Amino acid sequence: MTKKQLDYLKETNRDNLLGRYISRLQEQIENAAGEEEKQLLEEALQNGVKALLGGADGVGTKGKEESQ
Amino acid sequence: MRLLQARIQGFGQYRKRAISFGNGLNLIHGENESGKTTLMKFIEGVLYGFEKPATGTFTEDLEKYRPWDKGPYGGTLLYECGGRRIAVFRDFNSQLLMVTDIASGEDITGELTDHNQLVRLSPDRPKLLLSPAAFRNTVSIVQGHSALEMSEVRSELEENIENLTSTGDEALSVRKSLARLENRMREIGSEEDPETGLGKLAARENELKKELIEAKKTQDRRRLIERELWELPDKPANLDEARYVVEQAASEEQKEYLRSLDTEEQETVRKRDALSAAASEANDRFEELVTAEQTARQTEEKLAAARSVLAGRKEKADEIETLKNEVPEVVGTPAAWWIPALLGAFFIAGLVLQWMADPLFLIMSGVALAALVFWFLKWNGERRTEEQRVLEANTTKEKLAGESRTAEALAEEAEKAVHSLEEELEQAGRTREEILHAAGVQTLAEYREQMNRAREQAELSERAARLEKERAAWLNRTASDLLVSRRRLLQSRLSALPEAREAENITRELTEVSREKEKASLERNSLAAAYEAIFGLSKEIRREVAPVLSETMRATVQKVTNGRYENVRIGDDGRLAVVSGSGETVGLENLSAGTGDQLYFSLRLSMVDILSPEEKLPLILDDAFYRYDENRLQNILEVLSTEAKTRQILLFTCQNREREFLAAAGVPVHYQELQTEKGSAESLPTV
Repeated sequence: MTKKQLDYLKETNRDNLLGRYISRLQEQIENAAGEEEKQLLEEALQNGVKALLGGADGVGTKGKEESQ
Repeated sequence: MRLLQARIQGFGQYRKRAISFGNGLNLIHGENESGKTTLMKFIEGVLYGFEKPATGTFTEDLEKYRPWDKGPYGGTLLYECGGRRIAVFRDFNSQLLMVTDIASGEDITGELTDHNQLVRLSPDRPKLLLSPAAFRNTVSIVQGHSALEMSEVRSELEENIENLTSTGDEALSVRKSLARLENRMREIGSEEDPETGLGKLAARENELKKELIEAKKTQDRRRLIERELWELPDKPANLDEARYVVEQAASEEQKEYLRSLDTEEQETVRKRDALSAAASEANDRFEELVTAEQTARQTEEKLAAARSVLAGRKEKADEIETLKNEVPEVVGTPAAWWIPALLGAFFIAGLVLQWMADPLFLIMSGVALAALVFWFLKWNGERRTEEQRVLEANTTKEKLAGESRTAEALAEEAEKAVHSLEEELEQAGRTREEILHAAGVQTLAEYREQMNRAREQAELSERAARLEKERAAWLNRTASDLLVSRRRLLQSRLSALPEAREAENITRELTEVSREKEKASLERNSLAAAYEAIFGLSKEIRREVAPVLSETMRATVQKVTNGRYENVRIGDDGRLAVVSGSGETVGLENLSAGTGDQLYFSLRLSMVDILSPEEKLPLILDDAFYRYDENRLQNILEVLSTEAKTRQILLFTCQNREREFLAAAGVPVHYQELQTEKGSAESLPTV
């Protein structure tokens, strides 16, 4: 997922866990001590977002996961 | 916020339709398939579109609601917020979005939209946000549980509550998200568990490492053997190489034999070298020394003879000299020349005087003359005798002188011979001395002894050379045999080496496996980090939302349950329970499906206020009370009629119960009927 896509998700989900999660992880990435930690957090960001979206690529919509 | 009108150019079954909404409660009735959900989707679609900007793709709704006649696809939603009237126009074919301030006609698209979605409701209130998620989770409440069994209703309700309280989004499930992360972490597993992906990778990595070590060993062995075979000569190039080969590869027995050969040769050489260096020279110059000795002896004899001759000759010469000296010196007696001179003077004086003075003086001249003649005769006789004697003496002397010269010549010759012999002898002596000196001896006997040692030395040298030759032959033969054996051994070892993959291939696979393992580890760690972050954030959200939510829900629950339940509790785990008037706490699992629905509605209603405390957002309810019994419906409608005093409510229903109840209760309602064909809805006016 690109930064643009993540930013979009963050913007459109600012009230919920997804938006907060992206925000928190992006902040941690920005403050990462080293390249290794940064890489770990970037992957954590991607994996967390995918997990929250249930593997979907859009905003979590009720019933979406089940339909997939 | 208040929705004013939906102006549909084309959307699903709608074509050029305008549907207006009033203040307060709007009851929109329509049979199944009359377009209630389509109208809701139109409102959502105009506000947020069907595009998923994250991926650039569209939801299935884009095609689902494309007009049947393939005409214009889109429309305008008019709403009022913050004292402004705003028109949101969207063309779903071109994805064009345009937001206009109706009063001023000003295009305010950029102020209210983001990512082609309406996120801010009014330019005057930029902080008033209504994200797509918030819209779906609060404003829009679709019919939920009609087709579900009781247990499923509870389960879904529990999940919705849990999601809302832990994520702020009904569609976001922390439990499912964490389960997904856990499942993936379980799939990846750990290096210690060989049944998991990571464990398999770790095991494979270890196997490859071991295989690589073995392959490298085999490869190194093969290279070493091949190199040795390549460098291994058929036979030794020289004696040193032969010795090296023997020393390296021969058996102990052979080495012992070589040592014995070496020892024997060294002993011989040691013995030989123990003899003086002069000895070897003695042998070489012995003949010369003997010759010098003989020459000296012969020369001495000759010299003695020559000296004897010389002595004899000298003696003879001396004798002759003596004889010669004894011969008197015969010298003629000198004449008494004064007598004739005197007689002559008298003769001359008598003649002069006779003439001058007296002739008598002639007599004196006669007498002087006669005397003179007499003296002459006498002198002449004496002279002749003297001359004869002198002649004889001189002859004898001359004879002796000749003999003397001969003797002297002989003596000289003898002396020369002596000198020559002396020189010869001296030379012979010098030669002898030189040879003896060189040999370090004084005498011929000693020299002879030395010579014997030289002979012994020569014999030893010869023996040493023979031994060396024998040893060289043995070394060459043995080394050649050893080299042949070595070659066979190496060839057999080479063929006995196990077949192994190329180390490069193993390294490549190992690199790949290590990379995969590292990737899996990174993924696992990242999943753990994601798990931790999501878990922590959900707790944060729950801590923030749960107290406010339970407090907000309390009043609504009291109303919708008609006072049956007075309080709401949300546990740390997100579980919701209600407390009855008697103080009994009832878990969700013990509630009926209807009560569950009431709680669900209370929850959504509360969330609207929590998420948008500054602005009363409208509520859109799509057959939300389909399953409610009469009492519950009455309760909920009472709640809604109260809510409608401060909030616009669009209640879509396919039943008539709601209209009847509201009419009976005297609640003012803006009612309209949706029909499948051209109906009572307004024709589309110009904005």
